[in-house]
Amino acid sequence: MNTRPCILVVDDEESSRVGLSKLLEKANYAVATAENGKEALEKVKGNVCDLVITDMRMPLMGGIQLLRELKEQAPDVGVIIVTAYGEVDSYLEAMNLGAFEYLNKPIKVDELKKMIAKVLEGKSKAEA
Amino acid sequence: MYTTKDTPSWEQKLFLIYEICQILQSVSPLEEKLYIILTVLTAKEGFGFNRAALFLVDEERNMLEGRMGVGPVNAQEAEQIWETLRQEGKTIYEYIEAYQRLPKSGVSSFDQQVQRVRLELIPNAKPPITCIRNKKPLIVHDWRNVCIEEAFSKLLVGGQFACVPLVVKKKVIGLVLVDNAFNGKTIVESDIKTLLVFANYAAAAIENTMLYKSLSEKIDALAAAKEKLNRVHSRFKHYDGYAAMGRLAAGVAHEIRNPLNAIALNIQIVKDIQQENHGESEFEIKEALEVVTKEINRLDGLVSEFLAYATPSRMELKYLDLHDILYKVLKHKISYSQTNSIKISHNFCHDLPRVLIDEEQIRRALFNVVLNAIQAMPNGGELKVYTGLIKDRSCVCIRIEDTGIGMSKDVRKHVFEPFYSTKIDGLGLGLPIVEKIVEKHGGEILINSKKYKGTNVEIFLPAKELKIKTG
Repeated sequence: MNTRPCILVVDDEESSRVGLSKLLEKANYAVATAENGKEALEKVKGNVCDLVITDMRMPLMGGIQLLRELKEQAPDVGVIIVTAYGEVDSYLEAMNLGAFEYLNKPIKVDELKKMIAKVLEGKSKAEA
Repeated sequence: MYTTKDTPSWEQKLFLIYEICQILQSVSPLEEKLYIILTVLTAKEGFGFNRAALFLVDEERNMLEGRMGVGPVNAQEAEQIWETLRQEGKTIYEYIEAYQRLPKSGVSSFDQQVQRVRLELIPNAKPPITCIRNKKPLIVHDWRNVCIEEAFSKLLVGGQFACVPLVVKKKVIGLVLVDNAFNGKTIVESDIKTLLVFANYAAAAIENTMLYKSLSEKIDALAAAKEKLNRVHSRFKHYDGYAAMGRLAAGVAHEIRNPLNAIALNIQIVKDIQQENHGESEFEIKEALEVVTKEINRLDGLVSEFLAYATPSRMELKYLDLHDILYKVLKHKISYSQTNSIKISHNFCHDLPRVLIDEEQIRRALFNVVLNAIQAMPNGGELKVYTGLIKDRSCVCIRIEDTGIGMSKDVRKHVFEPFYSTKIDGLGLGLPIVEKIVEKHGGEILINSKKYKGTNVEIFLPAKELKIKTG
């Protein structure tokens, strides 16, 4: 039985998606990937996922819409939004919709790792 | 003007009224009209009253306001004026014509007194306000024995005065007051009847001027509103510029931060590997560094594209055959199009002149347009390229048509905006670069597109030398 926490990395940029997946795998997380919000929703429906790290702007379905859908369909899944735009409006929108955190690209990996630990810790406390 | 000599006959007065009415029709400023009316009332060729004053109703404030008075304030002044008039010997028309050179209203004492009159039009007002309420003329034989409005008693000198209302379409717009305070001539009913005829025309003339003034004010207000609207509009255009700048900045940020992100992640991977000291680390390090190199190249490409768009480059102009350039571009793209079932055809104008262009830049522009057309047909289609000569406009035209996915009106609006792209891997600099190159050549680019029907791009370039190409 796989007890490792599962993180879904959603990004239409292949280099970012693959790079982040590799790093998270090395940090001993189970990692799944998706190229856009729509594909991410499908993956969340079929599998247990603890955390979604999603890019903001993607074709078919962007990060904000994915966040909205997740809050309805899988409210227990934590969401970290990552963006290359860094706009204040979208930051506020994401936080109001219940994103755990909002990060700008390029990601500071140490910061992200701490954030992931915090989300997962909060989640396990809530489940206990 | 104030003498009683040579009193005109009834017919003379009527003719004068007719002539003055013609003059009133051609004069527009209200003050000048009032002056003409009062001059006629006081001139010996006119009505010959010693003094005349005109009051107008302010409907908004429900007040009667003194507007102008003509005549002396006392007997001494009257004597002086009559003497001057006798010496000048001017006609009424000369006085009217002299209006522009005269000192303006408020200068004579009587005029000043008249202009100070402000009376509320209350229902139980005393004479001469009753004249307004009853819409009828009024002769008061000795005002000292009658209870009149105090503001008027300050104006009056002798015992008798008369008033006629100024009526237009059954509405009283004002009042004319006349007296013979200094020669003591009695005002009789026949004087008032003639005065009523003149007052009727005078009222219409005053009303017209006031309507015209009100209309002018509305036109001025509209012009001011239009001016304001233009200012707001230009401010919005300015904001549009800011918005486009914002989108440009966001586009640059996005295009730079994504490769930076990949570089940062892969450097972290290398660091992690070094820490862990895995046996198979060499391959992973190589893979990570390849990604870093790829992303650095991507950034470099972005910077080159952006520079091509944003900075002026030197043009190396030569008279060249556009068809040669088009053949090269199409040849380059044909292998790509074959795999996507795209049929490419061309119809070139046989007498197209050589045009003065920078080969590299025009090639780049045409390449971008052809590439867009091919990418718009992922499921295959038809790409047609035409050239033509428009002699009237002294320019050549290159038309590139596709049967691809087309564009919505909204997308069409933004196609020349840097970093605006509907493609997943598009930088959004292709068409902005094309537009810039075409404009630098003094040409024009037009795009017509229908969603799901296709797009046609027309590039017009000036044919500076209409030398017919041979062979």
